[in-house]
Amino acid sequence: MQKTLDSTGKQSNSNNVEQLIFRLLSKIASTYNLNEQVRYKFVKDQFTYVGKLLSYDAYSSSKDTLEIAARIKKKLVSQKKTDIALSFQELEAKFNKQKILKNHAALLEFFFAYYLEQNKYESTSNKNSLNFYSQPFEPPMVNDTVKNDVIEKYSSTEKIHNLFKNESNTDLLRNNQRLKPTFILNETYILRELIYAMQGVDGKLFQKDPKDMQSMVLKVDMERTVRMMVLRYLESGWFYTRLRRFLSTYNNNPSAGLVLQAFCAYISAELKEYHRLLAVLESQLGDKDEGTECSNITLRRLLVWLEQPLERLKFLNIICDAVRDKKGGILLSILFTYSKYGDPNKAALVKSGLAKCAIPIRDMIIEWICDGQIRDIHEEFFVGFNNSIPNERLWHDKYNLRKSQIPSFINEDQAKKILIIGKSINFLRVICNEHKQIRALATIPEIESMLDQKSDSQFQELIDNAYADTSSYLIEILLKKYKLLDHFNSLRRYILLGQGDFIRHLMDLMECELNKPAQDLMFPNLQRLLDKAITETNAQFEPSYIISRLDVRLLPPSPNDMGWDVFSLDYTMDGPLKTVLEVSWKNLSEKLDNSKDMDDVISANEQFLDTIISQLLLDENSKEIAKELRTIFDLIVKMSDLCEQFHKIALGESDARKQFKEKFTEDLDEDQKAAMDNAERKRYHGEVKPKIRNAKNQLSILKNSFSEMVKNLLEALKNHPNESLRFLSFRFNFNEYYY
Amino acid sequence: MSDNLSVTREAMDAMQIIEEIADLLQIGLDKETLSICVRLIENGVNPTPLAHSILNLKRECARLAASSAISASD
Repeated sequence: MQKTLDSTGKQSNSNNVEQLIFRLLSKIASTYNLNEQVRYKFVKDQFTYVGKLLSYDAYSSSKDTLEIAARIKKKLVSQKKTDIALSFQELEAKFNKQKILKNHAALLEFFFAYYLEQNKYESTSNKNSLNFYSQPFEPPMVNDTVKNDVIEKYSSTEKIHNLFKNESNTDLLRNNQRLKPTFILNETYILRELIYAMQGVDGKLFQKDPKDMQSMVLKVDMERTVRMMVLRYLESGWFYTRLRRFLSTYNNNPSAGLVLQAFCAYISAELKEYHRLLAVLESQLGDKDEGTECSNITLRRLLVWLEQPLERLKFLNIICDAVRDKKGGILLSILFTYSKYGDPNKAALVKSGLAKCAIPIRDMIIEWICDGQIRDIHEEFFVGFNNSIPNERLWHDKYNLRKSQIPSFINEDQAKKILIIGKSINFLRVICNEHKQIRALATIPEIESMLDQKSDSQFQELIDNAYADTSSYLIEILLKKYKLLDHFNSLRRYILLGQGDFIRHLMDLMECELNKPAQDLMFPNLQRLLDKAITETNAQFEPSYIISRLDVRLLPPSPNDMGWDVFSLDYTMDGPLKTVLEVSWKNLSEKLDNSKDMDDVISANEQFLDTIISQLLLDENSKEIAKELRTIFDLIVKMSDLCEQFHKIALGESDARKQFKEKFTEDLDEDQKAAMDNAERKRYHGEVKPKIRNAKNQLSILKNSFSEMVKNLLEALKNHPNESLRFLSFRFNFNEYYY
Repeated sequence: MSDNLSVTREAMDAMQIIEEIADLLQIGLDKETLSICVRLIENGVNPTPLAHSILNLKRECARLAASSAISASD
């Protein structure tokens, strides 16, 4: 007795459970008079099972000593053993004072369980009237030698382990199968293991599936109901591992865009929340070493608690799959779609993520509309730019909208405005050399105002204000500093020949120069003539900044070109004016008053340009008409040639007659006179008259074809889509001369 | 040394009370088995399965003893 307690004191902290079990088995076996062989087999068989059963040692008593004691007393009273109950109460008080015992409640539980089981067993065995069960607890005489023998044989832990190893798998299996009905795993122990499994950590009961290293699988067989619940938990372990894998792929990955990285940060935050939850659970489960274990938490209860976190985890997985390899606006659009999810919890989950992921794009927008800067190495912003475009094409070509990258919560109109704002800033800065900060942002708009524009107009207002400020400033600069209107005006006058006297004078001056072959043209001469034309006409009253822009340009000549073919009058453009390049007048001046930004100016300009081109019969529709017109012009030219020829004939005839009159003087005799007269008549009828007849014929042909062509032209003009060209037909035929 | 002695005395007292309880409840376990059980429980073994398995073991032993006795008598 004393010896036993001594060893208890010494070894209480060491892990000698196995040894104790072995001793227990030997002791029990030795109390029955089994022969050595049977006893050996018994110990060997039972050791594995009992050892396994008791090695799941995560026991914690939820009940306190008083409660169990009360249950024992109640049981005794119910069995009408009141006197025993009273004695037990006395003993219980003493028992609780024993400080050397750590686990009073567990000991009482042991007694209670033993007592109940034994009573049940006795009652059944009594029914069966099996005589050797009737008093099974009266220990026979202990055979000391046998006992010592067994202990000596198997006492060392090492030997016990060998016993384990030597046990064949089939034996183990047989044991397990035979004993399964009573094989109950401690629930707290399962829970503790599950908390590991839910973080994708291998434990004793659950381990990663070696096939995909993602899902967790059971290593121990369990009851069906327990297994169903456990599988639910393990699913979350799989979700967790997948999210971790997603993070490890994209987090801090330089090729992933800023938005995707923001998304990763959001996922990590969610996982942190999940870790916190698990930590709380673990602390709730308590620590067996500190004796704070608590079995209040059951598998089923925890499953209810974890319902929502698991759903979140699952949904996050779905989203992660959706946004894999996406970036920028596309990713935001996908998240935005998910934020409309029917389940308000999930929608809120996505919304909070979207708010975090949209921050990089929001910052880009703000930087763009305030500074005109783009810092977007991953091409995530919906405004793209091309550095290879020269500054002259800055407005038209340098910046463009990436339609696919516009997040779906920003509509196209806003995106266009955003593009124009930044473009205007760059235009002012690069082309106009205006470095004034147009709009200093007082407050950065809330991210929610961008995502939920129906309920918050802050973002919309920001865009609108910035748009209005920037555009009006740009137009002001263009009109005041660069005198856009004046330039439009002068272009109309000089290029579109609006200023009649100047062009007339210039053409008169240059006529003989331009009639030369193109190779012989002298550029300085032409320039001199231009200057002369300017100084001699009303053009001299124009401001010098306009005059200085007028210039002569020669196209590269080809061999047979006349000067006319290569000459062109140029209105030199630089700076911002180059962007507003060709002019349309009538609509333009009206539209300019209404125009809000430079794109409006340009589109007004282009519209008028189209009109001019179509009215000049240069577009596709008018090709036929232009051809006919050209034929008519050819006819007119032929007509004028004919006139010239006829004129020559007439002049020749008149000269001939003059000569004839000079020779035909009075001092000639009659014969001579008659001869000359004859020769004259012969000349006239033989030479001149056929020429005149010929000319007459040609004239009539020309006349017929001309009127034919004109009629065709008028017909074609009548059916022309352009209204003003239809009017032209009436103007040609105002006196109904042609038909 | 006196510490050790006092610990031993305490342990003996505790064991004394445990034996009394066991007697009271007619738990048919001898001192040694009882002390092993106490140590097991103090080491954190779940008491209810322990109780059940001890009873099971006893039953199994009784069965084995009976069968060996029968075979011996044969």
